[in-house]
Amino acid sequence: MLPVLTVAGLTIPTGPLALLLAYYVGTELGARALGRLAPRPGARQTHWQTAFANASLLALAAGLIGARLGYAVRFSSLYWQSPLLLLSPRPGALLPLPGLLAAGAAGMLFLARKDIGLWAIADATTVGVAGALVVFNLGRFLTGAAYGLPTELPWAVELWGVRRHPVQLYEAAALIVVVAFLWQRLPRAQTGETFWRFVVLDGVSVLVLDAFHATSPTWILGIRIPQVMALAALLAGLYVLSFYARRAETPTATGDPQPVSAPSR
Amino acid sequence: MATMTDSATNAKPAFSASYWRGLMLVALVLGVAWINLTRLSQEANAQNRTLYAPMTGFLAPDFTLSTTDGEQIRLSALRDTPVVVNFWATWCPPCRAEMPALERLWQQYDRGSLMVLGVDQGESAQVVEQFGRATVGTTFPLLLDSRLRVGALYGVRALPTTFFIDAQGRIQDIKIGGPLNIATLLEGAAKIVDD
Repeated sequence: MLPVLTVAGLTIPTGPLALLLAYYVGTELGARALGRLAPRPGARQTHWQTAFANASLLALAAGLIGARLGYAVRFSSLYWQSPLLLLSPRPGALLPLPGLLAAGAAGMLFLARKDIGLWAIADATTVGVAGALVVFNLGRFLTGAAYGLPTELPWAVELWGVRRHPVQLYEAAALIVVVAFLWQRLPRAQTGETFWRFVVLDGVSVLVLDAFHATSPTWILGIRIPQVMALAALLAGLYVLSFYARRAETPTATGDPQPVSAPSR
Repeated sequence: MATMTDSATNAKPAFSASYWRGLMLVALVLGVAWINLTRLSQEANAQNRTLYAPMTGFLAPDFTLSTTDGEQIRLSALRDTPVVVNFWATWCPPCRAEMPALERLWQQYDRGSLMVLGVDQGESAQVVEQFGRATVGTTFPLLLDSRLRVGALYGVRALPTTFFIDAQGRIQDIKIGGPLNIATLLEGAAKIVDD
């Protein structure tokens, strides 16, 4: 466990540092993915990449504001007493869900105004999010968050006197495979197909690997909620992919396969 | 001829629609079986609730330390009272700067409905007493972790570090670094004090 890093006398908490790094990796990968999806290489490609980077910056700002406002609403009595707390630079006073919603909405609206198709945005964002999740899980491993069940396997890591599954590393490794697969298939994928592939692959990953978490939220009889949600996502993804397969099976007038990059991109 | 063959091959997707539908059925059966097989047992759940670790969501590790007045304070004896544990030292400028804010927090909660503990790292009672009581005028308990044993137990790698522990003894927030102002301390306190 390494909850803080000491660099040149400065103490930096690992958790927020990993989040920043995850944001950077996600933005870079997403922008490059969107560039690969641009209908024509050259100026359009650069324009889309720049638009994605700008959108992610805007999403970050909107996300932070949304997360802080959400937190302020939750602890409204305190924020009425000290309104200046809204401007506090401390990262702890943030509520994730309102932040994610605000970030998603801001990023989508910005890109939609740049005339970039919704599914192209979803495909590129998916690749970026998958890459960011790799770093996020490495950060969780360093901080000891979302730790694993006890085990005697040789690669177990010791945490508070108990040897445990390094489940965060399992998840990071699975996501690296997912990113590599999505990236390799990106140019030949139909519009939106990358997104649904991610839904399926991440669904499988969560369904399998959440079993090694020691602290999953549960329903009755100890059923793990993330696994149920992952199974639902996996089934939905497979169902949608069957339609993509059917569309690809339908021959065009020339006998060629359906276009893999729809003009709406 | 070769082009025609390639074209015909390319026209077919790698997997047909019926393949994906079949896979759905397999995923459903295997997924339900796996979810059932890997349910979190009640014992494991209960074990998690009773883990002591210096992390948010866990029970705060117990310790007993002497105050500068020689009184012994045990953390677990303060159950039912929210506690703010501040690790500090007199040689640490941000620690010194946040002492008045900690005193204000202590005063604001009637000197006891929320307990504030200043755990000094490795200094003598005389040094701590001189700075805490004489220079700043603190009145909350100042504890002496002369062998840095409690600091190590809490994984303290930077001073100041402040833990916010609720009345059930569970850590609800950790603030690494400082100086914390009164507003930030109140924000942490809001997480551990029942309205």
